[in-house]
Amino acid sequence: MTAFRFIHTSDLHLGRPFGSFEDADRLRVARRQIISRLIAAAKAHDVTHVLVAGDVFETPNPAPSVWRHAADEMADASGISWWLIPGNHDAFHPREAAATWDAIRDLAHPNIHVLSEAVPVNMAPDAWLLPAPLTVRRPSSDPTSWMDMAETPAGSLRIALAHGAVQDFGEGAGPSDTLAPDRDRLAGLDYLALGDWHGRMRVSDRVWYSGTPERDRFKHNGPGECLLVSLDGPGASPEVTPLSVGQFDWQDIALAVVPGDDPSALLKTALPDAGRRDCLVSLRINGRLGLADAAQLTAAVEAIRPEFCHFALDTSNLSIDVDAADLDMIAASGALRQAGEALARDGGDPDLSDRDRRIADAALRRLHGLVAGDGA
Amino acid sequence: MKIRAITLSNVRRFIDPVTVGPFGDGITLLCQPNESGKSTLFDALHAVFFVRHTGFPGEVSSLQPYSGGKVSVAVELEIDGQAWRIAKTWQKGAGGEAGVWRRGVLQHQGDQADHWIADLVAGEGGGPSGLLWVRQGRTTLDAAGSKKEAETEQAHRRDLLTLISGAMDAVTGGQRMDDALEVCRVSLSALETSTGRPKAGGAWAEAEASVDTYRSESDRLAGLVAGLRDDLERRRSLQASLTELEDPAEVAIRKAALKDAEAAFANAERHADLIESARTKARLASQTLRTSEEDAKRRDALLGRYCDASERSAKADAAAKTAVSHQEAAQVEHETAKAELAKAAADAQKARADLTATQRRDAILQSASQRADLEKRISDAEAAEKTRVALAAEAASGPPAEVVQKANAAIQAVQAARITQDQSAPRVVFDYLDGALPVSLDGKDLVADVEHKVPADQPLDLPGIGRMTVLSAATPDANALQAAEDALANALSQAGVGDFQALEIASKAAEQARQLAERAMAQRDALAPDGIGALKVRLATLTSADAAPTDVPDTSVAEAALALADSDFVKAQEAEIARRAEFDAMRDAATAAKAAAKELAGQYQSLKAEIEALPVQTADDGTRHIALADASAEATAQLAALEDKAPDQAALKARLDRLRSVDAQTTTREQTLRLQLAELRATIAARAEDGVEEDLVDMRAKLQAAEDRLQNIRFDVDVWRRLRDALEAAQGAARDRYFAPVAKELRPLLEDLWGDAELVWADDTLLPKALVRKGTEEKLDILSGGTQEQIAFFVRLAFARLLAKAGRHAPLILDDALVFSDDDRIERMFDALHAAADDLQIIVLSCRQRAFRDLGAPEVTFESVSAGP
Repeated sequence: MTAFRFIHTSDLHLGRPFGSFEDADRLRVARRQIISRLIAAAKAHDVTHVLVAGDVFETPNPAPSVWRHAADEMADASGISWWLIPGNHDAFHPREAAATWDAIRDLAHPNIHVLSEAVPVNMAPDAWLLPAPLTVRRPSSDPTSWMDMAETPAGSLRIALAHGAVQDFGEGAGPSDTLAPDRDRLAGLDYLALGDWHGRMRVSDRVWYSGTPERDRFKHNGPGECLLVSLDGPGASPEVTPLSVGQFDWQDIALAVVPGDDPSALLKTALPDAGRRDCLVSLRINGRLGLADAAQLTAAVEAIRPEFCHFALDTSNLSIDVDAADLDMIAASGALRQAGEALARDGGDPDLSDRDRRIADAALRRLHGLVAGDGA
Repeated sequence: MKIRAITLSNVRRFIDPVTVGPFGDGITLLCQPNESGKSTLFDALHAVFFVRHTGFPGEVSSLQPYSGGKVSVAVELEIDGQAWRIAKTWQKGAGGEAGVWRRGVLQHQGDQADHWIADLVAGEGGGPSGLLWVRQGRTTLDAAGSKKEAETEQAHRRDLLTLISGAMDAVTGGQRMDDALEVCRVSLSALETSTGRPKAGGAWAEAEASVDTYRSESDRLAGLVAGLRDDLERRRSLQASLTELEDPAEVAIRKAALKDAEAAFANAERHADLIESARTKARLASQTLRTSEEDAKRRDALLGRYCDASERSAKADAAAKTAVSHQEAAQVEHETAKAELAKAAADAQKARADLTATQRRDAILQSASQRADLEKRISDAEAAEKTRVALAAEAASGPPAEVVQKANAAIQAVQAARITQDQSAPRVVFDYLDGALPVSLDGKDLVADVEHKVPADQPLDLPGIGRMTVLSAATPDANALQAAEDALANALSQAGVGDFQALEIASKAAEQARQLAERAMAQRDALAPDGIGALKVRLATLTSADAAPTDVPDTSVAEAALALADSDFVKAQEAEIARRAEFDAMRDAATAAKAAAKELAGQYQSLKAEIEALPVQTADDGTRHIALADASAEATAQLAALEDKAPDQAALKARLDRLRSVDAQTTTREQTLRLQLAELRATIAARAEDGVEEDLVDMRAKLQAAEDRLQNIRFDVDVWRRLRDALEAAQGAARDRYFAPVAKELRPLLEDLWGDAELVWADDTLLPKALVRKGTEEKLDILSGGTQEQIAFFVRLAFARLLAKAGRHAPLILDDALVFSDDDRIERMFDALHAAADDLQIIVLSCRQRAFRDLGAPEVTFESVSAGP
């Protein structure tokens, strides 16, 4: 038997808007191009099957332009079969996305398979697909449990497709709506393609989350991926190869600082050098810095911010260490010095609320910015 | 602290090291020409005390010579009796150095040295630093005009009047404090109102509005999405219902049941027809029997009614005849009354015509009387007019008034000329000798001693002598008399009379004729105010007595005859109305009686015809009646038998109706469901087309972003408020702490120079704004440059004294101060300096060698030394 190969992907979230981002248009365009990138990846690796493990759409009833374009683009790739299951965002339920899925099915494109029932499907000679479509947004039981008893011809591959979170391995039973992480073993699966988790994750040799092919949040760093899966035969260990297909790189960066750190150097180390135009950054500064260094950090961020598609700076957990030299920068003496010292005292006063301390810190930074080096 | 020496190396013009010193406890003078380095020394001293060794700020950069290199400044100090040395170097790009030595031993270096020096000069509690500075002031405070220039002037004034780059700024924060506060206030005013609410048009208000908008839009979209989900659920429910209705098995059962019900009901309808036929037959037999019985009864009754009608018809005929006779009698009476009424009307009409004729005659007679009067008035008026015309002609024939007037004037002139001529004639008086013959004039002897008038050109006879002519001198009077006489003669000639008297007579006659003519005209106007023509027009309207009729009675007789005729007419009219009413009543009664007779006759004839139409009675009538009774009984029995076997048609009809209703309702419901489904699909498609779910996700993200932004702006507002409050609090505290004590220290210094003098401070800027001398307040702007400079100097000195009293002996450094003070004043300033120098070290830098020669202080100069700390 020659190796059976397919692309495993999930969480396309087509139609997702990014209205709160300044570069929302570029982000939306990149998301619309997911299908063509998956097609390119499949063709590049001579693969004829693409398994999408749920959440094809962001909303249950997307605008027709969204689902029609997606369906047409899939249909145009006539050499590729698309195996789609509804996820929690597009559950096959009358109140959810059933109408959308029915509409796609009504188009009758032969290479698009909307799998809305939990029954084995013969996807290729000697290869059976066991789908676990979500028919409700939050199922009350493990939607893959039926696979244990599902019969398929002997000697054929058993590949499963599901959407949801796997059970954790903590003490006590997990919630009933999570997937059994050892379903491959229980149901004799050769591979369980999972969706829902937007980052790539290996649960076991045969159980993988592919992650989204185009990132949409700061939870997972790096561009989106899909998985190239190769099965030599029933019972053989799958060969799983990540393929980078995403355009935008979402970087969630936490920078811990202590007084004496060089903020510019830390920033340079933490941020990517290349591809900044397609990079979104959420930078959280934690720890403590001197007044001048904090000002330098802020200035450095402001200087490089335009290079990025998006740059959010969170200094709410940054405390300011104020020393005499910082206050000297404001004024060696006099009323300005007095004002600076009062703000510095409030910034470190444990009797004040956290917000009041942060306000005092920010006011001190602002005073420093206004007058420091200006004849002090 | 006291400064003992200062060493500069590679500082501006001092490439090679130089030192200045030693500085004593009191006043020390460095008096050098311009460009010799005093200001460099001043700036270097300021840098070593106030600029950190790290970095290379503008202040240090300005000290660097053109050749570049490391800038070095060192100062020898005495603190609490011990010798200290501080030194700093700055080098661009390579960092600097700082060190503090005590008695030649390094105590601190780097940042520690900076901190030690900062502590040394730092003002206590935010007050003035341990070094006090006064630099050369400006000559004028006049603002140049523009706002910016005015602000620049104010900044300079701050420099001038408040301790130049030193203590006052240190106390208040100076321009930097003002700038920082201004930024706070401007930033806040862009965000909030004076009451702390979001300002319309500001970022805060806009963020609040954005959140509200997004929240509202998000709620609206959530509603649409919920509606979409509901529609989807409803569509599923409707589709299920439709599918159930369209199930073929169910449809077949429904149709078969309907067919059975229709067949059963058709059978029941046929049986019902049979029953109805039997019922008709039984009803017919029964009816035939009943008809036979009723015919016999009706014949008997008809005969009774026929006899009664005959009798009543005869009575009615008699009554009708009586009524007709009564009607005819009433008609005769009515005709008579109508004739009498016509006669009375004619009589009344004639009497009224007679009265009218008498009234017309009376009017004609009255008109004839008025006509006679009017004819007399016309005659009189015409006579008066005739007289007036004759007199007017007579008056017009007299001499013209202007000629009379001219003659009067001429006669008066002649008389006046004659008098004048007479008065001017020569007079003679004689006094004769005894025996002399008297002189005679015109033959008359002229007696002696009497004045005699001698007419012109008349000779006197002088007996024995001859004749003597007295010649009078020619006078204009003679010409005047002649001219007057000529004018008179001309006027009389024009009037056609020979002399003036005749003219007067003719004039009087003409005037009299004119007056009589006016009197005649007045008489005419009295008789005919509107003219004689009007009287004649009126005369034409009046009738003459000839037109009055003569064959009419007197008016009173005619009026009595008319009253009698009218009374007779009224009576005749009332009689006619009464007769007519009686006739109408009789006629109506006769008509009614005739109608009643006719109706009863008709009834009689009808009954008679009915009786005649009845069949003739025979002997078989009894047998026929029995047969009819038997046939009726049999038909009734057949009907009862059919009714016993009849199905429940109502129940079958109800079932059929129900099943038909079910069938119709099913069809209707199918149609309704299809319609509802189509509508729902359209609604769902429209909402999906709008992408409401994506919009909702998008809007929630925007709402979250807007809320985050609002939180940031609120935080930002709080930060600005906190900074503003901190700055205002510090500034207020500085004011409270220093300015009252400084003013107190300043007062004796001002009094030394100007007697009763005091400075007034502005509350907002903390700058001196006016000087009060002997109760008169003078704004600082209008004071001379020298006075302003002296005030700045005293303010500075007051701070120094204040610090000295507090045990902090801060060196006072004066750089080209007092440049505008005159010789008298500068000596008094020197006195003040010396008085202050008991407690203070004062270093004076000046280029005015001659003026400062009288300062009486030891002098120092720049001395070259070997480099190195």
